[in-house]
Amino acid sequence: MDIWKIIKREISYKKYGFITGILSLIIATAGFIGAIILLRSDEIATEQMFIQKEKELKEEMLKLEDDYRLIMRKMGYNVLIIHKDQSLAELEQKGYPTTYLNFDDVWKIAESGIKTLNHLLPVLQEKVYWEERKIEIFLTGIQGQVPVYSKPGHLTQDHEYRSPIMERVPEGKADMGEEIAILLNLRPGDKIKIKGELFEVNRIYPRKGTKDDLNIWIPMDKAQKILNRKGEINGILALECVCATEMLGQLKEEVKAILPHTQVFEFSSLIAARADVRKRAAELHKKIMSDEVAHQLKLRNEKEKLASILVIILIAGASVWIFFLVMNNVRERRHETGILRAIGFKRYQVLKIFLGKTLLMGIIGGILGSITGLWLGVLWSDIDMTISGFQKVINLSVILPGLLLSPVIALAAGLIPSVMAANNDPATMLNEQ
Amino acid sequence: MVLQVSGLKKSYRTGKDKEVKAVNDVSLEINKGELVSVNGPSGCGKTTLLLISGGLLYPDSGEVYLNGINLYAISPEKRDKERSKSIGFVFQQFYLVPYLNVLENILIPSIVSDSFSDLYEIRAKELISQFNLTGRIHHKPGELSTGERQRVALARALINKPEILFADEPTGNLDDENAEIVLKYISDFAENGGGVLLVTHDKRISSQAHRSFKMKDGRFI
Repeated sequence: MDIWKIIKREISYKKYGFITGILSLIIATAGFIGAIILLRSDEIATEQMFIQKEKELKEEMLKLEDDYRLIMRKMGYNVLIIHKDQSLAELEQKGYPTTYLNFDDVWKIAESGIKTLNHLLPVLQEKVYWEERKIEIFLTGIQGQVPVYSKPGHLTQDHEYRSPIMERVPEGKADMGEEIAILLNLRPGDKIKIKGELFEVNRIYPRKGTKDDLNIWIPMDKAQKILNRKGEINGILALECVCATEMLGQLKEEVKAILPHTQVFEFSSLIAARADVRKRAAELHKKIMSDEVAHQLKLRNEKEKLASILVIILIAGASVWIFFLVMNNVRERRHETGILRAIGFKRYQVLKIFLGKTLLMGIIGGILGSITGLWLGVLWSDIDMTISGFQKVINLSVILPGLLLSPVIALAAGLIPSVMAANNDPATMLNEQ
Repeated sequence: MVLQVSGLKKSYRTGKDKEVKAVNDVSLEINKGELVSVNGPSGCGKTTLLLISGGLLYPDSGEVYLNGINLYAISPEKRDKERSKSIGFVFQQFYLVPYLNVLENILIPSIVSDSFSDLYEIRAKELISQFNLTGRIHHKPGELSTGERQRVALARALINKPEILFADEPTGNLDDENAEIVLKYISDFAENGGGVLLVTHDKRISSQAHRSFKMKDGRFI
């Protein structure tokens, strides 16, 4: 015979109270665990949604940048570096720079590590009278794009551009605009002579409606020879880096720092406008994302508040119910407690009888409540049913508080009536008829 | 001498400025093998005397010696132990635990004892046999007659082999036949060397006591 036997016998004798006590604890524990699981799975789902959205946004922005880069490339060079003494009015009037740079200047930029420019193309261009064909043309010497070493991603292993805006002109050949070709009835493969130098027509560029339609591109060394500008160029065409379009001022300062005797002429406001649109789109996306985050946080706070209130009500309900159950039990067993004390039971032994019962109630309520809470939580939430998804939501940090909550509620609620029972005066209880 | 009670006083307040002297300067001695009865009408202080003598109720003044130990001069824990070791109680209402069977009810005192539970079980079965309860061993109190219930209560009181038995109206709820049986067991206990303090309002019982006191208004008269 021991105290646990007394507890077990009393429980089976008064099943109703014990079962309703357990039920109240199951509801409180299940509510607690269920709320945690639902909130946690909701949090994970929101996090995953954000991650997905951010990923989509990133992809969208990358695509936008690719599109933008493509547009930029298609539109051609948008920066011209010319001598600082070059009059822009004269440039506008004549259509080509009339002051000259040293050819090595382009290498100084290429090797400087500059980040704000791509696709450097040194040019020597003048408007000349083509005596052999009796026509005024723009004659341009090019040597292909100079590799910008700070942008290795754009270059092949041989330091050639993967996708140059303008192809180099092979030795002994000439490329030309469509206007000239039509005017002079020239086709690829035809032989032409410019100022005594022989060239074979290589490529004919489709009409653009610009002065390029009246342009003939030849290798740089031939142009320098024909134009008597050995080792000289009169401009460096370049493409602004997409990443730097919002920093136009910075580009000018960087070039000036490398080549103090130059000035930068940026001639594509359309691209700048597009960059601005892109920037605004990015900002809008960011704002939408941050608004969404704030909205989700607000929603989450409200859900947490609601869940807390619900759980508090359930816990309070269970506590009150158990308090009254134990209180009633203590009242009903006054004579029993009295005789136990008379027989020699110590106060702590009487306390053990009542608290042992509530503890048992708490343990059973905790286990069943945790199982119910887990089941309902899994049923109502959108948990990823893989093992890792399951572990993210359901782990010891959820189950342990649930298992402990119920015994704590039961013991706390049953403590006062149990102490009252233990402290009752046996003489008074036995003297009651 | 098993019990020595001297100069016991106990009073209760029943209302504003109203004091009832439940026990008023009572002294009593009970020797081994002696059955002492105290009778008197209801409310004369018999039960209060029994509860004080049994170490359950502090007196206002006076002393209670059980086997030479002053019960109210020792700690409550030691008093609990003394009570479980040396005293048995029987009440008119039996106070059996309703959800335990006969054997388990009788074994309850074993929980607070230092002895081996097997020895208790043997002793409990002896008492069950002695009190003609063998066929009722697994019955709950609700399934027993009142006489059987009181016999179970008596067996529970005797399981620890106490030196003194305190019986408060042990036959109060019993018919004559069962009252005789219970009284016989109580007398047997005294004959076997135990002390008995029996309080009752039934004058017939007093005739079986070795000594008998009449009580009125808290005093022996």
